[in-house]
Amino acid sequence: MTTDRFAEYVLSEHERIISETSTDIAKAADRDYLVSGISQTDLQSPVTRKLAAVILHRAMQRLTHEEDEDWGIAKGFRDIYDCRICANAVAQVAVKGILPPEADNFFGMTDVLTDEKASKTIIRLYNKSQRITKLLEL
Amino acid sequence: MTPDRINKEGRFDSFDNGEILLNKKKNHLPPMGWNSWNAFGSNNTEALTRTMVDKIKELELDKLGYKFIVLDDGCYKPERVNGRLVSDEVKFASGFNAMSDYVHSHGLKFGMYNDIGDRLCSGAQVGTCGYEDVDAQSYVDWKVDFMKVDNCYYLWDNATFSNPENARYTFAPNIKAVKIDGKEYSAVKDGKVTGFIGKVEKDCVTFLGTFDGTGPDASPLEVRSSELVFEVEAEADKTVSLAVEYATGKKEGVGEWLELAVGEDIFFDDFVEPTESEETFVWSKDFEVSLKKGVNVIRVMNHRRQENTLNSYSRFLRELNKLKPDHDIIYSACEWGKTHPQNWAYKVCDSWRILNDITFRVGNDGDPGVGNWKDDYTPSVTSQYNKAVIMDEFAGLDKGWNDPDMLMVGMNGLNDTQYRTHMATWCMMNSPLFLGLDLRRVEKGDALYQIIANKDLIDLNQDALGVQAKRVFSSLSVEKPDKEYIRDINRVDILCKPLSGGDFALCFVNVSEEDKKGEFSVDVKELSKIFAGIKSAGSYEIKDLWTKEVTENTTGVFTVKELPACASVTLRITPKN
Repeated sequence: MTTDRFAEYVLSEHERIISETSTDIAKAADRDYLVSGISQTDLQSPVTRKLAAVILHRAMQRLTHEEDEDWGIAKGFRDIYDCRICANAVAQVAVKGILPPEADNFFGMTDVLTDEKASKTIIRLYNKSQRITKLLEL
Repeated sequence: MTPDRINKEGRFDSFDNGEILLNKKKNHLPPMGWNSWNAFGSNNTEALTRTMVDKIKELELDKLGYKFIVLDDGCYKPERVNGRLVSDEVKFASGFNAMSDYVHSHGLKFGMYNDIGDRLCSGAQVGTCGYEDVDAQSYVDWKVDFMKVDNCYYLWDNATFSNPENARYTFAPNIKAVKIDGKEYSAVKDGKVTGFIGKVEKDCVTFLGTFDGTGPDASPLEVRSSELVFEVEAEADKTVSLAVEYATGKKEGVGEWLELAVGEDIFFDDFVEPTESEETFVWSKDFEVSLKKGVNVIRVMNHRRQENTLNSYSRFLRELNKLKPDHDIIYSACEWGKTHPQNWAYKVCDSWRILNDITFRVGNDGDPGVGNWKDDYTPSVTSQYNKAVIMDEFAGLDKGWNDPDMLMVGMNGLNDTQYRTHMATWCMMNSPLFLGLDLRRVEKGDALYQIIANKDLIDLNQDALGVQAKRVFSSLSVEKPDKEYIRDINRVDILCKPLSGGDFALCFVNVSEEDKKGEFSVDVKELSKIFAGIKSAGSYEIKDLWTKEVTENTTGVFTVKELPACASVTLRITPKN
């Protein structure tokens, strides 16, 4: 799944869940927000876990208005500070159980998110009961 | 592409010579202003920036020195258009010229952001690398007064988001031996490893390069690189052959790029042929070396981590100079302390970040973001302070300023006491003062205003003498409080800052999160031994820069009793009689 498709998927699932069809202008604004600053090259490339985290976190800010939490176990990811732009997004999707780390202390920033995992991640974004609470005990 | 050839003036051996390059302007005081990053991250917009400009004027912060309005990452369209930088079509729809004009029309100065890599940290594919000439023209066209230049996606090092294998540029191969004039010298038995990072592993020497200073692990004061040195005696001046037995790698500690020197004269500085593995050693080709009669020092090394980065920052300044030789653009290096810029950045830059970011939880419109008082890594007031407070020797009007990153005053996670100490210590340390909050949250006279607009403190930062405070006491210091890198925050520090006209400032800092009982004192007699400009007097006028209370002291011993957790007392002292 490309980064662009992932962002579209996040938006379409939101629309489906709230059972409202947004205007084209509103849709475009939401999309711009989710992919702001992401280059065309990256948008057309398979979505990496760090860019997925960025898009999911922006969706939490703009669509679901979910507040940030303390980083908790994410502080222990040895690659968390590799990404100054996405560090907080990575921490938030991890501690909220939306996109878990690849290992106990490693998020896996640059690895590609498989289609299956991307789908599950988006489900967990909108359905808190599906989130991976065990992560908090890692 | 490979890194540039480097002239002697940009070499490691020239770092200590005190000479600036490319006519960098001296005598700038620490810059002050507002930067979009801590406040809005990559979600800053034209409308928000205009509002911040309006608020700076409304609050009259510009009269206190907050002049620069800096657009940080997230303001560009993520690709170049016809090779040029352009503004993000949504967030800065009116373009940067309009933004610059708006800032300038309010009597303020306009700052922008870029990167020495091929992308910005946000991933936007608009880094200056290879576009220095084109980008310099854009920034001149946009009438910028300030440039912050980052280090992500850097091609010649394993910086953030760079290819990790770029470490091959910045470390020498593992070295097992050298052969000089037919005689073999073992790296382990006959060589000497200098400096901090190099070490012996099995039968070779490894980690010949520069320690990565992005994190808070090492003191900034000693040399943070290593060389492998051989001393070879020659009975007469002669030309001999030299070869190196090596094995290459592409990771932190083992690279493919080798620098060889006799004394200070470099005779090889390039890639060597890669080997099958880091443990498969081969002999290099023979190099021709001129030895002088007596003892010759043969140096096997790689200082490219520092040299490449200095060169990359120089490339952009060179292009700016070509277009506008008399420009006075403030140049802020943001390479996060990775290459120990305190050693070299004074040559081309006005300030240099000393560590990775002070916060990774930046704000957004409606969200102030989060700052911390302490952290094991860099995102906290004390992580930055602990390092900056012993770096005074690198700062000055003829050099530039250590930059412990932007202010977190106004962010969640810190209380008013911590804000005050953050502000006071940044002022004492002559740090650049960049506000990082949404100024709509500030009203004239409120608690935040009284911190960021404390003129007495700002006067310390902007004092014409331009001297960073020195730590003259730390309760955890063993011997030299101004030199010891102390990361345990359970302590009280005293900083002293000489000021113009014979005044000086003292800042008593409880770094810990616990109240500190007892008295903390410093005697002017001791201070006068450290600072030539501080003299004993019959009496002293003391002004507390937070309470504004003025008292008289006739003993020359300045004492503070009991400091609550994270609190500080900052005094301006004027000798009388």
